[in-house]
Amino acid sequence: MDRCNDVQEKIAGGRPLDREEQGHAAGCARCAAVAASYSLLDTALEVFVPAVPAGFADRVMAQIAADAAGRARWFERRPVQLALAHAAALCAAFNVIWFVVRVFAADVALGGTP
Amino acid sequence: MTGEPMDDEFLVRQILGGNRDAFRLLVLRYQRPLFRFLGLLGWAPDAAEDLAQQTFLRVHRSLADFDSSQAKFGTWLFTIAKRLAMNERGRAHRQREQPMGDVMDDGIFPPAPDPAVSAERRRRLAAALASLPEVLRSTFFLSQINELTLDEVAAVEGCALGTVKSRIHRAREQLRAALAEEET
Repeated sequence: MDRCNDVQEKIAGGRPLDREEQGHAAGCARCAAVAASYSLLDTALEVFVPAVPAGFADRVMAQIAADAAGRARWFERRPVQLALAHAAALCAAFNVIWFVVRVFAADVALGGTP
Repeated sequence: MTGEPMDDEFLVRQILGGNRDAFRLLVLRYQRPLFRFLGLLGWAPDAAEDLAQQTFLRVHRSLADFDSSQAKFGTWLFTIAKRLAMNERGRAHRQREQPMGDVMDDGIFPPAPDPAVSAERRRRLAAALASLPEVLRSTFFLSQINELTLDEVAAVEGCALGTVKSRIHRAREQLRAALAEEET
């Protein structure tokens, strides 16, 4: 009985039986029935396993190459370029305003009228 | 050539050293078990392909962070795959606001090509798979991947080996009972 319990526990847990246990399962009606019902489950589960699509590895490698290229040239991306252009424009505007303010401030300090 | 087998860690070192083609060997080695895992989780072939691609891309991006003293490469890859699959499923459920059974009816499970397994049996098994608690599903499906030992499944799941065995036992029993119910 202990033998049956051990074998059935293994079958239920999906663990492989050794040669001796396989021999027991084949000759014991109770263990054979348990093995058959779990064998049905294992067969049925295979139905849900999709095949690997043809060319899958090629597509992954192409995606990785594109990803690597994209990450290496991040500064060429449009949002990054737009952000840099805006930053440069802001910087230029600030410098112009700062220049004008300083010229007027110096003029007023020397007695001129703004 | 050194004559030594190209194990995962060797290939990882090659990739980090600039040999991008070595990653292709890792993809070829793990694509089948990864599709198996995602298929059993219930993803239709197209969605499974998207997720598998995301997984490999994430693995490639994070390869420098992989520490072979902490985990085997396969364990690390399936940890990433599991996390991505769970995030994606959570997102899909939030968008649909439907329970799992309804998602399954929408075709998330692929059609079965094996005529030996009856349509009714497939339907019942799909329903039983979908109704497994998340913690049992993940452990059980990982255990169905031949490339992972039960110790490695325990590492991915972050639990003890005994817990893994117990979860597998419970999941298989529930599924077997669902199939047997059909025939009574």
